[in-house]
Amino acid sequence: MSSVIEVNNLRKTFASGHEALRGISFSVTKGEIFGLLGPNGAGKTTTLEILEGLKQPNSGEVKIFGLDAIRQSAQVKQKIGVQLQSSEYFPSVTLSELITLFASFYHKQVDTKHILSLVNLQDKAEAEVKNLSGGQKHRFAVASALVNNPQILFLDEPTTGLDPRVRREMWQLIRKLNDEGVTIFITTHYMEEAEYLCDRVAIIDRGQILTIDQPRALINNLAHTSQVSFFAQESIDYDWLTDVVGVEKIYHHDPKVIVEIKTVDAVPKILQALTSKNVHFTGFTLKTATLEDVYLDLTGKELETEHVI
Amino acid sequence: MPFKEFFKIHLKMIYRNRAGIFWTVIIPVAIYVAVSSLPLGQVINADIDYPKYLLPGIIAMVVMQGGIYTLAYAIIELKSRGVLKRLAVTPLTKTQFILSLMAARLTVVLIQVFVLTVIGVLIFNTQFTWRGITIATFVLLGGAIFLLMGLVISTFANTYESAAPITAGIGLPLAFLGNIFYPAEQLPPALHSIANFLPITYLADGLRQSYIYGAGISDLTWQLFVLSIWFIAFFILATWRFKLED
Repeated sequence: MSSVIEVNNLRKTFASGHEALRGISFSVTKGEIFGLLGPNGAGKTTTLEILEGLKQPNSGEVKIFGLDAIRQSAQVKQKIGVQLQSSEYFPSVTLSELITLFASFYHKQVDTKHILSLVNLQDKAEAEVKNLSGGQKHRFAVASALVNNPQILFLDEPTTGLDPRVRREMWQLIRKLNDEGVTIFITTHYMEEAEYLCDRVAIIDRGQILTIDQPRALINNLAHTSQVSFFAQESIDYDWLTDVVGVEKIYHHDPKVIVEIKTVDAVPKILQALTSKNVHFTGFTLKTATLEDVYLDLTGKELETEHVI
Repeated sequence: MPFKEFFKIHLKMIYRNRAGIFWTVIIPVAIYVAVSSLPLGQVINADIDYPKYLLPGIIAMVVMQGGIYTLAYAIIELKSRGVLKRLAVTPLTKTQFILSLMAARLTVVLIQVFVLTVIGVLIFNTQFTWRGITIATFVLLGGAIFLLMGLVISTFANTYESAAPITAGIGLPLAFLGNIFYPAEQLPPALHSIANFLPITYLADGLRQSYIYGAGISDLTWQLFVLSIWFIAFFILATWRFKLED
């Protein structure tokens, strides 16, 4: 498979002296959904804005379809579709008029109903953006990015601020577009979203890429792929559980005991050990590791709680 | 094609903002009617009645405000809501954006000037020996200068709050020094010499000569020359300062 985006040793320092990107490199393969993950302020949007031609890097190389995205950004803009974090448009203008306007920037005439139907907004053609719901606004932002039939779609946190049901609708839409052959570059700080959508993810923190791989591979590479937890009746030392085969680590915050395990094979052994020691417990839970655990393992810190817009 | 579509969208936005239209027409008319009734006529020149003297001045003021206030705020609004950034990731160039925006705003200014003129003629029964082409030339050239000035102001501010002192700091002196309500020659010498540099002085003078005395383009080459210098200066400044990416 050929790569459609090549980023090499990209650096960006803002006038304030803040080093937003400290030499990042990655490539995106044609047809994949590539996710850039990290907390707020990690450098996700800065990376995206350099790729889209909105910002100039201090050094480094960006190639999109083989074009130099820094010097030939005008040509790159013809071929890409961009959804920004803000989904605001001109006031007092209908969706169908906005689609016609955006198509004119590419010297194209489009069937506005068709473009809107791609995101299931054909019934809102004569509505204004201000009268749309949050989810509809985000979907319209995607529609406005599709007017030039782009081969790559850049999505900057496309589901931030959406409720869970609407978020899943967005995921369906992104999957559908990808099935139709559009390469997707997405940034997000929702690990669940990246795990569900992305073929590959790059985890970025403080301007550096920590790792790049398929979400499944990242999870499988963890020392522990699962954890069990339970509430202990007796406040005693549980360190002896590390002797059970397959157990990696114990955390005991009385009354909760968390046991990180390599594979689920350890679960019956743990139960056996607890029973044989006559330990009474409740709320025995098995949790499979997620991308969030990968993130925590890599950065050694908690993800920021999501902000509400 | 981007120019034509954007021109249409700008006009639709202006037309559909009914409250905005109402005030852009009502306020200049109210100022005209109110100031006309003041006894300023005796202060200036006895042989022209004051409503007749004032109308071209008010028109110059409307042309100025359409740029400095209306446009600067409209651009800052688009910038702060991220709409300009959305344009910057498309192949649209800033020149296409600026030109379509100016064309739409100048169309509106021409309509405002027409309405004010009709009101001046009907309410005050004023007789003008005007020259349509000359007046349109001054309105378009002056309008372009102040629209570009508004565009430049918008690059210095990101919010309405930070723009307000800038627009007031520029707009108020222009309104009081610039030949709108009384002749610049009657200002104290120091202020008069400042007025001699301002575009509004030449815009109001050109319009007045054309409205009242029927002066044509060939009679007003000096005024047009000074305005052209201002236009070139602000065109360069605006294309240098203004960026869709900001």
